[in-house]
Order: sequence, then C-alpha cells, then structure tokens
Amino acid sequence: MSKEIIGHYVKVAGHRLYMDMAGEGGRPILLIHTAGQQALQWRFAMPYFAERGYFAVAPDLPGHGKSLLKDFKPITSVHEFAEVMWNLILELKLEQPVVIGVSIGGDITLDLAVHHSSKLKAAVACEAAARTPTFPVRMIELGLEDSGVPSYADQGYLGGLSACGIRANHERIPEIVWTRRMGDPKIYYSDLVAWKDHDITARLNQITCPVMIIWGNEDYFVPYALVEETMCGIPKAKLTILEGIGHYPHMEMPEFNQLVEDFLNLLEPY
Amino acid sequence: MFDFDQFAFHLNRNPDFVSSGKFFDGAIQLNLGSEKVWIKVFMGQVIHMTQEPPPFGYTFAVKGTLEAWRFALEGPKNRFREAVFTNRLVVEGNTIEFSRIGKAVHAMIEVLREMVRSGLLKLTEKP
Repeated sequence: MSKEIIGHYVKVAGHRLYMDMAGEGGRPILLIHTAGQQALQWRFAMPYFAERGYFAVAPDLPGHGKSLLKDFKPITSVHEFAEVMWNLILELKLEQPVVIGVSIGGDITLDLAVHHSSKLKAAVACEAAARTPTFPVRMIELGLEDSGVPSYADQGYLGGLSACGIRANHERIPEIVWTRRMGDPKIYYSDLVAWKDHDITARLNQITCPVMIIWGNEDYFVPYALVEETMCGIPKAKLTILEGIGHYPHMEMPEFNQLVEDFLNLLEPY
Repeated sequence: MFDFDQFAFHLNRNPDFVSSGKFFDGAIQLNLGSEKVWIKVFMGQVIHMTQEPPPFGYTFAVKGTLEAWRFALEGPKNRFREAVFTNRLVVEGNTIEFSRIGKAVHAMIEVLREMVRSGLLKLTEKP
C-alpha cells in the first residue's frame, strides 16, 4: 500500500480522467478540487490521509489538468460533474467513500450527497452551498471568450492572492497563487457557469449521510447567508467556521486535514 | 488629500506597475469620495496627474465612497479585489483594459496602501 501520491488514468463516462492516488486498500476518500484547478491542490491532504489508513483519490475533473473531455465540450453543470464522479466511484469500486470538495468541488460533493446519499460514508463540502449564484453574469460571459479575459494568468494570480484569508499559511500562499495561474479560461469560466446555475436547495432534505460544511469567514465568493441556508436544509449537518481563512482552506491551513479527520473519527466504524 | 508627486514617484519606480503598464497608453481615474484623480499612463510611466479630469475622459475609472476605499486600502490585507467583487468599488469604462493591466492596478493599489500607512494619503473629506 503506497503512501506516496501516484498518478493513474481511467476512462469514465467517455472522459479520459487523470487522478492522483495514495494509500490504496484503505478506506476511500474522494477529493474534488476548485474551479479551473486540478488534483495538485490536494497534495498536502493525500499523504496525511494515506498514513492514517485512507485511500485518497483526487481526480482532475474532465477538461482540467491532465483529464481530457469527452467530445472536447466543457461541462457547464454541477450535476453532470457529480455524475462523472459517481461513475468514477463505481469504476474504482470505492465502497462507502467519504467525498470532500472545495468550491465547485464542494457543490459537486453536495450534489453527490443529494443523489447518492446511501452509498456515501460522509460528505465534506467546503466554501460551497446548495446554490451559488455569486459571480456576475457579465463577467462569466466575458470569460467564455479568450478576447474577453486578457491577462488571465495575472488575474488568476491576483485573484488567488485576494481569495486567501488573513490567517492563510504564508508558506503556502505562493503555491496557491501559482496554481491559480494555470489552466484554460474556457474551462474556468465554464465551471463558473455550473457554479452560478447550481441549485439543489429543494432537495437538501434527501441527504441522509453525515455532512460537514466548512466555511472560511474571509471567503467573499460564498456569502455566509448561502451557507446558513444550506445548513438549514440538511438533516444531519455540522458547520465549522474558520476565522481568517478564505476560499482555499485545504491549502491555506495545515490544520485542515486534522479538522476533517476529527469529523470522520466521529462516524460509525466501517 | 493627495500628494501627487509622491504618488507618481512611487508608481514610476514600482517594477510591477512599470512592466504591466509598459503595454498601456491610457488614463486611469480614481474617484475617492468627492475627490477625483486623473492619471495619464504611457508605456509604464505616469506622465501627467491632475484633480481636474480633462473632457476627453478616461480609459477606466474606479469609483467609490471613502468608506469603500478605506475598506480596500486600510488594514493588513489588500482588499481591493474584494471591494470590486462586492460592488463597494465600481469599475467604469473599458473594463477589459482594467483586467489586462491588472498587475499594474494591483501595484497602484499597493502604492496607495503604503501612502495611507505612512500618512501621505488621508481618506477623509476636505473640511
């Protein structure tokens, strides 16, 4: 059982997906990255969980990182992303996985919890909500055309800098902002279409698995009102608010892994 | 409110402002409460600055109340982008140019933050 991160490819729902894996044979955890990003975001979490008996799987979403898109048409629906992740769970035969996602990864996590609750051990959604109409439509329209988003890399860098909270680990900020420079604007802004249109508010009461919601109080992409609304709709949910943390808690704070592990330790044994 | 000479001096020596602004020929207007500052930038250098904007206007402007500017400029973190995202500050004019020279704008905001810290810029209305 390797505790090191090892890359794999698998064909799922017509997409050629890349994923990082660590701790094969352990209790499965699926880790889903933020908009426009890739599995690399989870490099701090994967060895931590692998060393504690978990099998951590972090895919690049279709069109992101090293994952190819079926038909090369960007996905613009959180539910479609979630169903690809569900098919990945089936393909890898992950029994009762814990799903952890941040930002759009958190929205995908909640969508999985709505549609496949009985098959999940737990869901941890960070910087996410049942609905997230938080980016201006005009900005997204511009972003979907290359000519509308000049200096995309600089904007990613500066946006990442701004999205980190005041208590973000200073040694990690350079990596957070560097990774924000990467990627294709068409993919990032297609993710934002999915993020904007996502709404599972009416179905939250169908969630039966334990849910942990994590929100950094400096995340201005996700207003607290939307988090509170989501909490109120889920039967079994625990909310943890992180003071001084922004949109990337899994990278900003080294204690993130311990925080999630403490929650998982409270669950019934496998 | 503004020490023009100091503002232009620091902008013209800021490596990010100079490099990102190197491919820009335009005018930036800042509306800080009731005060306006019009800044002509050519190839990474501020070549003119005035509080009486000329009639031919600006490439883009950033406008907000003094409270909004205090939110963006004061405190340990640069909250300029948050102020724009949350509509405390409004960008008008050619917003694509605003994005394109984002690094120069960020550098300009950092210069303003330093001027606030050192007391060279006071975000209060004139008596």
